[in-house]
Amino acid sequence: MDLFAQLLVNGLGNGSRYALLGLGFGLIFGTTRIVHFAYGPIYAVAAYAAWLAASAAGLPLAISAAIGVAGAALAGAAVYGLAYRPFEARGMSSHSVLILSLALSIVLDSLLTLAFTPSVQTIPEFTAPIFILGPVYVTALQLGQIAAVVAVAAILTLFLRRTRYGQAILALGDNRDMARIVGIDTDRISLVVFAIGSAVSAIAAVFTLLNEGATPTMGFNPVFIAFVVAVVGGLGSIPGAIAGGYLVGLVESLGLWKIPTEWQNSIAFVLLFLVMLVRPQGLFSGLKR
Amino acid sequence: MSARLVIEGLNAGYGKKTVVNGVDLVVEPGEIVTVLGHNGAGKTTLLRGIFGLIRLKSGKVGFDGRDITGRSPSDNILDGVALVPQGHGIFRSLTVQQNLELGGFSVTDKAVIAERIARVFGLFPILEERHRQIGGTLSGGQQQMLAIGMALMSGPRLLILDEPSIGLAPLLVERVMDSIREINAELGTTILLVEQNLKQGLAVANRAIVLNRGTKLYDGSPAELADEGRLIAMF
Repeated sequence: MDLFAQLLVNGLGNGSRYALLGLGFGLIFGTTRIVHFAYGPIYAVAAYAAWLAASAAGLPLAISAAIGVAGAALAGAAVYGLAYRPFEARGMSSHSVLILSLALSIVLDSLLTLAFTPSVQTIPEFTAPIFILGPVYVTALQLGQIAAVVAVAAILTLFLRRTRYGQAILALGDNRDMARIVGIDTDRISLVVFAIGSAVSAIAAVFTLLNEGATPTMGFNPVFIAFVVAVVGGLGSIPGAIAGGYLVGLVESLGLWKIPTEWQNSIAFVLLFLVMLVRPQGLFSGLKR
Repeated sequence: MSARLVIEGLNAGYGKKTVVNGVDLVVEPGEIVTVLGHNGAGKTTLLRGIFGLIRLKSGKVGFDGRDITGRSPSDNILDGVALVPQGHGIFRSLTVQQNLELGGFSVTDKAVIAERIARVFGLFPILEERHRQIGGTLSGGQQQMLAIGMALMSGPRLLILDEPSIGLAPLLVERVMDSIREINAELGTTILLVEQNLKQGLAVANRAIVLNRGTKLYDGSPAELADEGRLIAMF
């Protein structure tokens, strides 16, 4: 029973990170319809930016994390403006943009390897406090991840419902042609969406940096997890991404109770397969952001 | 007073295909001009070209004496041009209220937005009753009213409508055409209307244009065009 409780806590911690990944990915895909595989390297850029700020510049952790988030937002916007947008402007099909996205992901991974070497980079002085709650251990990072999901979901919901840019994002996600017809600058809004989505993923990346360190290919798995979470939850839905993230995190963690560890990476995709069979539109599709 | 809309030698299409071929057209302030033609005659392409949704191959578009050729839809809305696209141009997942607010996206003054929403509700009272309803769950006629209401939110001097009667029951078509007359008479908005419903399109118009394979075949009185023999010759 103690093991079950510990796996539950671990699942909630990982689920929070997955929820953040799904929120960012879902926002980008739900609004622009671009399957953004370069989301993975951008995630790594966030971790390296935070690592450089903390290790090389010696800045405090909170400021380093903010630099990681800002770096990812800039990199995300740059990827849209310099890579995807020119393709869209030429009327390329979504398949071409998908291939571009995969190619971009590989190129950015290689550039990160050239810049930072394949070794794991960590922040040496950092150790997360651990709390013992009865039979389970809870780390400050796990609690921080849960708090981050609550904060990001609340801020995103308010932003989308209450601001002019938020309304424009909802409009663009609903009908791109109509968004142009009512006078929304769809290119600018897409750029903003890429910046916000990348910034959200960066929060998860900073937690990964603190927990495991940074590597050039650290975004490879998260991009697929983000895809699974966003699709399982219902693309573009905030409650969906959160529910999807926790579902994947808990199933993955609790699955270890009975399933050999080598299957851990497959659990999320089995879940995706099952949800697609039963509810192809995702668990929370149709609910508003 | 200068003409509201002046189109000179407009060529537009998709890729290498030219759909609208050298069309000239002048629309005076306060007019209702109906553009008629078969499927594929180039009516929608003409409207999308005027509004800046597609890039023109050549030609000029002037609005209230200014050259607006090649300008983006967002610039055209700021200038006073609005478009109601074909097929219920609304945001289907958003509420009636959100749709109307987005229709006024170019307007930054909240008081003006509130005033225009009230005006749209005056024109289409059913939208006020259903202002919290999701747009995609409205009936076809109500969606069309919402689409027209959204276009009015920017306060246009020229309202372009692309087949607003498509897919509507005859009674609803009458209601939509009445609202077009009302917008023209009460708000003084100039209307450029594309219609496949010949009877309704001619009944509402001050002037009719007929397009055939991208070229202008007729520009004149709707009454003359309504003559059966002439219509048969045209279509």
